[in-house]
Amino acid sequence: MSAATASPDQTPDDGVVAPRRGATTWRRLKRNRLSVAGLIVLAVVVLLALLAPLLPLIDPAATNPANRLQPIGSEGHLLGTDHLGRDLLSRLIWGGRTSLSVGVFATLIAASIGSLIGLVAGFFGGATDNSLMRGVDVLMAFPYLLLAIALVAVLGPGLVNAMIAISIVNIPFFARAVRGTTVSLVSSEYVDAARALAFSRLRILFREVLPNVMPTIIITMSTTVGWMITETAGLSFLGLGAQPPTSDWGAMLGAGREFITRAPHVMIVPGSAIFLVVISLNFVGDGLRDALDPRLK
Amino acid sequence: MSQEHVIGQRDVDRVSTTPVLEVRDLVKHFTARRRLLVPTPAPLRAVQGVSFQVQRGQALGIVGESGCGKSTLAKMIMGLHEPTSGTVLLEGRDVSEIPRTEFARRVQFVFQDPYSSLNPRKTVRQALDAPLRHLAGLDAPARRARTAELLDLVGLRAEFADRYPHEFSGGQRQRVGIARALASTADVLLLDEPVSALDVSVQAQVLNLLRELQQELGLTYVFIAHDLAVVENLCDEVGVMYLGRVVEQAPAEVLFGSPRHPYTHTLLSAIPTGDRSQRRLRLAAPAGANGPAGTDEGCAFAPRCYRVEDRCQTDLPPLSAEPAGHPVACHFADDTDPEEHAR
Repeated sequence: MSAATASPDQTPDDGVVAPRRGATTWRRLKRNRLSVAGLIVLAVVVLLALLAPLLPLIDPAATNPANRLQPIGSEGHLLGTDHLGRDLLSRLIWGGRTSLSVGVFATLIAASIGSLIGLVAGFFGGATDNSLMRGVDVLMAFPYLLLAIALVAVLGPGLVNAMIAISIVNIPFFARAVRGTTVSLVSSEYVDAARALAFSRLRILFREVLPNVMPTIIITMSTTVGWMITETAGLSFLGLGAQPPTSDWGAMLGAGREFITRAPHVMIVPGSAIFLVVISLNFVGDGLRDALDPRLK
Repeated sequence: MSQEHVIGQRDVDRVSTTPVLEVRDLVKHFTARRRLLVPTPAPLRAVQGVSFQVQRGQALGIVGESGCGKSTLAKMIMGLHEPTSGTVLLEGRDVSEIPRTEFARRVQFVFQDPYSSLNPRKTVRQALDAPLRHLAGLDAPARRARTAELLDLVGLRAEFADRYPHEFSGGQRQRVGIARALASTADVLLLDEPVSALDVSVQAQVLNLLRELQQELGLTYVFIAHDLAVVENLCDEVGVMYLGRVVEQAPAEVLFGSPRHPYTHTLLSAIPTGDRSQRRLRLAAPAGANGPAGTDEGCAFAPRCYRVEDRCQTDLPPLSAEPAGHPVACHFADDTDPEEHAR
C-alpha cells in the first residue's frame, strides 16, 4: 500500500472547490466525442426545424405533377421531389418539426407517468408494487405496435392521438427500469440514514431516491425518444398519424414506398433523417449518463 | 438486567439517574415471505430478548460475531426495524410514543459502511443542510456557520463542504457520517461498527475522534463491534452477544480482566497480541453449528463450547449475576477458566 493510501485522512491534493453542478456536467459531456457529434447533429436538425417558417423554402404542400420524382441535386430541388412533385427538402424540414415535437412530447409524457409509477412501486413495495406493476405487465402483454394501433383506432387517427398512443405504449419501459433502480436504492444505507433523520417519505422519495434514479430515467429517455420517433413514423406510415397535408417523416416514408425501385431517394431522404436523429440521441444519452454520475468524474 | 448493573457508575449524571437509553426485552424475528407451494421456514430469531441501560455520557459496547443480531438490535433502537416485541425507552419514555422528529433530535445512527451511507449525489453541505434545517431549526446563515463548525469538530477542513462523497477517503466519509449525526443535535449515537470498514491506521483516528467528541459534547454511545480490541478503550460497559442473546455483560475492565463466559474467553483469546507463545482457544465447531435461528433447547453456544456438559444441551442458562458478580449466561460461570478446561 502506498504512503498516500496509508493515511487517507489527509487532504486530497487537488484542493479545488467543486464548481457549479451544471457547469461540471457540461465540461464532462464535452469529453465524449460521440456525444458532442450527436449534440451538433441534433442542434442543426432542431435549429432547421425551428427556423422552417423563416427559411426560403418552397411551400411543402405545393404539388407540381410535371416535376415528379426528380432525383437528388436537381435544379431548384436540392433533395429532389416526391411523386406529386413536392420539394423533398422543404417537406423534410417541415416534417421534422412534426416528428421531433411528437417524439419529444411523447417521451416526456411517458417518462413522467412511467417514472412516477416505477418510483412509487419500488419505494412502497408490497401491495402497491404488485398492483402497479401488474397493470404495467398488462400493457406489456400486448404487442406494442398493435396496442398503439388499437388505441389510435379508439381515439381516432391524428397526430395528437398517435402521440398519446405512443406515450401509453412506452410507459412500461420507464416503469420497469425506474422500479428496478428504485428497489435497489431503497435498501441502501443512505435511505436508512434519511429515515433516521426523520425525513418524510415524500422527501426521501424525491430528494434522496429520485436524484439517484435520474440517470436511469435519462438513459431510458434518450433511447426511447428514438423509438418513439420511429413508432410515430410507423403510425404515420400506416396512415394513422399525421394526416395530409401535414407531413412527418413517417408519412413521407410511407408515401415513398411505392416508388422504391424507380426513385429510392423519396424513402432514403426521410429514412436517413430518422436514422441520424435516433443515433445522435443515443450518443448524447450515453454521454449524459456518464456526465451526470459524480462517481465517474 | 438487575439494578446493580446499571452501566457506568463512575460519572453518575448530576441531573437524574434515569438511564438516557434503556432497552427492555427486545425481540426481533424475521419471517420469510409466505410463498405458494413452498413450506414457510421457521422465523429467523435475530434478537431474542435483549435488555440494557445506558447512562448519560457513557459508552456501552455490544460485541459478537457476524450474524449475532447486534446490528439488528441497533436498527431496532433507531426505529429502522420494527421490534417484534419489547420496548425502547429514551429517558424513561417509550420511544414508540415519541414523535419521530423529536426522537431524531436526540438519537442518531452512524453506519458501518461510509461508502453506502452517504447519498452519492449530495455534497457534504447538502447532506448536513437537511438535518440542520429540519431538526436543528437553523436559518441559512446559521446553517453555513454550523456546517463549518461541525466539519471542524470532526476534523475536516471547511472547504470540503462542497465536495461529493466520492471525493473522500473512507475515514473522511465516516467523519462526514458522524457530522451528519451530530447535525441533528443528537446526544445519543448508535454506532454500528463505525470503523470495521476502515483501514487499521484510520480506525484508530476515528476511534480517537469518537472519544474526543464524547468528552467534549458529553455524548452517549451504543457502540456495536465484532472486535473486542476496538471496544476496550472506548467503552465503559461491554455486552457480549451470541445468537441473539446477551451472554455476558460487565464493566469493560471486569470483562477484559476476568471474563466468565466461555464465549467471552474465546473472543478475547482471538485478539492478536503479538505474543506467539500465547495459546489461542480453538472453537469446537465452526460458526453457525447450531444455526443462527437458535432454539430454546439448551445453550446456543453449547455446540462450540469447550466447557460443555450434558445439561447445556437441554437447559437454557439464564443471564444471572450469580455467581460471577456480573451477568453471565452460563451454568458454570464460576468455573470456565480455559487453562483448566480447554482442550
